[in-house]
Amino acid sequence: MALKPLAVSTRKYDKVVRTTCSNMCEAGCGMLVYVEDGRVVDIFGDPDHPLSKGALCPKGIGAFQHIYNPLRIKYPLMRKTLDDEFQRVSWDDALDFAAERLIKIRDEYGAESLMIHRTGRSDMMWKAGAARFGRIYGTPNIVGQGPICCESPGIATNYVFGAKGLGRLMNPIPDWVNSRCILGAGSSQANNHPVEMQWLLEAKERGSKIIWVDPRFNTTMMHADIAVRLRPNTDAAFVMGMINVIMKEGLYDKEFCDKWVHGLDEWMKLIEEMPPSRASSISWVPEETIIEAARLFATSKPASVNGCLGTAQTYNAVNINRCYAALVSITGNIGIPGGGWNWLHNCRPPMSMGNDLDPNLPPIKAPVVSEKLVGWADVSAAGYANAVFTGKPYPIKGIWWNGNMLAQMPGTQKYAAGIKKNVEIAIHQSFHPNFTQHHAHVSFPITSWVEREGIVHHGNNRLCQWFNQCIEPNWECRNDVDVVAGLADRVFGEEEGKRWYPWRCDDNPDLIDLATMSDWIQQQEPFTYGIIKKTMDPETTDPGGVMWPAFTEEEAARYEFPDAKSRGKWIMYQDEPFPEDPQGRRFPTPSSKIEIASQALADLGWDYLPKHREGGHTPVSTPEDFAQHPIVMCTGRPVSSFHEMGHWWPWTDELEPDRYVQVHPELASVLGIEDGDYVKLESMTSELDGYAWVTEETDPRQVWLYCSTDEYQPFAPGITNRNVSWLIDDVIKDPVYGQAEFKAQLVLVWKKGTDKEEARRKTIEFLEQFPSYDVDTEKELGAYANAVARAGAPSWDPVSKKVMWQGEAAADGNVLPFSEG
Amino acid sequence: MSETTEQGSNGFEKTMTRQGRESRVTLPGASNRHVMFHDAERCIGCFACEIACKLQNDVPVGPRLVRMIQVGPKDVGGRLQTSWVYMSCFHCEDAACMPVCPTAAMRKRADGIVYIDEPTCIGCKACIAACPWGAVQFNPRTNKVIKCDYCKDRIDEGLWPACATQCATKCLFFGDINEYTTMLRERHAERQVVME
Repeated sequence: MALKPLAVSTRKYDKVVRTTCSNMCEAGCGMLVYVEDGRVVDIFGDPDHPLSKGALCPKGIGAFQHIYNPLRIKYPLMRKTLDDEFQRVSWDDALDFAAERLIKIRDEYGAESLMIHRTGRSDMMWKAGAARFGRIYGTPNIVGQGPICCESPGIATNYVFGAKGLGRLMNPIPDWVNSRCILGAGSSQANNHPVEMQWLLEAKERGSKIIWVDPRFNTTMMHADIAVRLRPNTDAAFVMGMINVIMKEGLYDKEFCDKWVHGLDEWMKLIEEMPPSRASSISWVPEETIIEAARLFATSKPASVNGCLGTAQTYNAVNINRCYAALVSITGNIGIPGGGWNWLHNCRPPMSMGNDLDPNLPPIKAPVVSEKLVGWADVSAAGYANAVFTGKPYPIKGIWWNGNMLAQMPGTQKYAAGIKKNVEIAIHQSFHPNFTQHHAHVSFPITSWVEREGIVHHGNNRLCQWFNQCIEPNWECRNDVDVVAGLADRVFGEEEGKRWYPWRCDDNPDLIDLATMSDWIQQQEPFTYGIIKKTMDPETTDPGGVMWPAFTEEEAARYEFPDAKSRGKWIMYQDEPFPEDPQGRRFPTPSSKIEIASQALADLGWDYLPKHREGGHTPVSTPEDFAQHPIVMCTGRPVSSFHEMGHWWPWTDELEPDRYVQVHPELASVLGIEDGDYVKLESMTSELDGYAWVTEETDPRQVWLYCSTDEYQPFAPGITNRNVSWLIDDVIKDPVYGQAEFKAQLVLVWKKGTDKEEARRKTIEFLEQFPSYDVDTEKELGAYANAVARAGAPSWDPVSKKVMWQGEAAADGNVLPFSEG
Repeated sequence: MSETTEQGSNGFEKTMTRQGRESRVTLPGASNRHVMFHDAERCIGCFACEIACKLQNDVPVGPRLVRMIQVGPKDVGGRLQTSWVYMSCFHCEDAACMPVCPTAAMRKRADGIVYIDEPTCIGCKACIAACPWGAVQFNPRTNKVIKCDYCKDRIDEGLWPACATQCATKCLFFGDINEYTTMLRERHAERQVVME
């Protein structure tokens, strides 16, 4: 008998729980957790899960070291000031202390002085529950991680296609096998969602062509037919160059455009101004590659565009995504199998904090601390470093968050200094004693996802999935939302707390019953009304979850297509009325068509037509910054970690040392850098250091860094382990949604211990061989050019390495000292 | 150990399996010897195999029984190319690690699996020096040698090794050469046929 690749454990176990991987990326893979006597003993991929097909990535398997990690926070901890040592206390004492300070800051500074920064990364009910808390408390500063992460594509396509909330993905990943050409933009799928690479490989084996666009030649690109390595934030120029070729050669779908596309004629003037030669000059992509990609994409049908964070975390994110949406629209690939504009990350449904709140509560008094143009969707977290530090427009005195949010905030050094200086109560829901926990007054121990049940973070594929509790909570851990309920009972009073958070466990009124609460929250919105535990649970229903929208339980049980892998709505924008559109239109936009030209965006103050715009820190837009920091910096994620996950586990940390600074061999040789040397990087916001990885993956004009590391994580070998967010500007951001430019900054790189000025001179000399950028500086720069935003923000002094404000150097937060050299 | 091997005088190897299961007789080099195939066309370098191995064999930080090695990218005719190479133990016919072991702790099963008998190992590292492929690793937790044994506990239960079982893109295949070619044919055939 042949041996079998079965997901069977050879260890002793008494039960197997069918559940879903949560928190470790957006894929939501099926998982079998083997349990013996209340302890997890083995983890396998669930072969019956129709999307992951039995596969897990290193994080999914390595999460074994997350569950029983000795470095988990096990008990509630608190301290009076950020200079004190933490003391172990009871849950009641920690909640009492936090509640007392929350009441104090509300009385002294107003409710708006509390900022709640949530991510569903830990738990979707924390996201909903904490937003409810903020609304009842009376603060407008209820912040989402989405705008840090990648929600601007959802904003962009909301205006292009029309949708309620963030209507992003049209066709799910298993539908890729029906494509003849797949264009992937702004990610390394092999690193970001490795399990889903199965579908890309299968599509390729069935004959689909692959075009992959990213600023580095990543592991996904090695599988591409056309590899497009471009300068960060120049996708709009690249795609407009493609469209220039498609229109000139008549390769577009005229019938579809005439019937369904609005504004193409008006856009043609800008398209004509972006021939492949100019697009090439702006984007680093060879002219012939642009032409080849254009012809291949336009002559393959169906074809799809699949994007990810890379096109979101840039200044021109909204226009870039409008361009990709236009590409897939003018070729007529909308609403058909194998087509679609498919956003991979955060395809979440509209999520309510509860329809009972507004009618019963006084209106919020103060305006939000945020300067984004769109008035709806999550408040961007990227703009808070300044407010926390300067106390303008009003003081922020309380911060409440989970994960390792502080380490991921742009302008990290300033943010940490601001917390130390001004914040009176910082509440942290902790897995580990990480950088964020080092800036907290109260630290609550939180369950991992196998210790509770709930909705998997709404991730790829518009999927809502359920994960089951496999073991009892470890140590004194509780769920995120139990912290919210505990504080609600204390800040609003026992009666009000139970009124707004009624979903208590029968045997312990301090705790929330997650199944009851999840069902209630899901049913606040029509799109997810049918998607409740009963219709999602992989133990009792088909594994693979439900794709929103599903308005009823019947819809949540239905497969839309015979080859659909998940229940619910398989393909959006088919030739049918958009769900719930009162006028029964296919595209619920103002013109009832796909809007390349958008008056709605123009009314907000953004571009009527999508176009290239240089980011806030580029060789063209900021010559003074470029003179100091002549190398373009881009960032991304290794396969072994996601947010905080993976960084504190020995196995995953061992895979690739966390701090890769990719340097091209040509630049490395100029600067005397060898593979594995320590290098230092400086931007206009701060400085960090780490190992050099000398590789041709990156362009000679660019360095590329791994993200989400932590100064306090134990295993990574870098000197300070500072996250790249230290180098990211928090002032100049995408104006529409406030996305910080994680993908495009300017830095100086030098070998540690060598002369920095000499490195600067050599780098500038090295760059002289490259052509200049054919950017129209009259029309293609951004509002940052007026320098108004910069004038109101603290700056950073590269000599003292301190945050400077009004002529004075600020004291640092609880950060490790800078390394010498 | 679960299994003992006896070398018969007639060139046959006789294996007695544990727990009273049927004994089986195998020819050295016969087709039921196990081989690990790595389909580089499908590999994405995600390291799931490495972590699956760690979990299955409870391996601490340091030794990596299987290792994915990235080669490239290299510019070949104007196109960048990258490849990943699967490196574990080849379970050599004539294994260099075996004769150098002073305590005969490095052993070969009848089915070709080269494994270390941990109680007998004295941690002298002679096998590590002898292996040309870097396959044999040192376990700092036990101060003894540790190496890939194709998860022989899983094999004895009719299962693939953990790395191949948990491979995220199904680019690892474990079995004999005929099974592999059959699998390739079946995979191709399935893609050729469209059933409406």
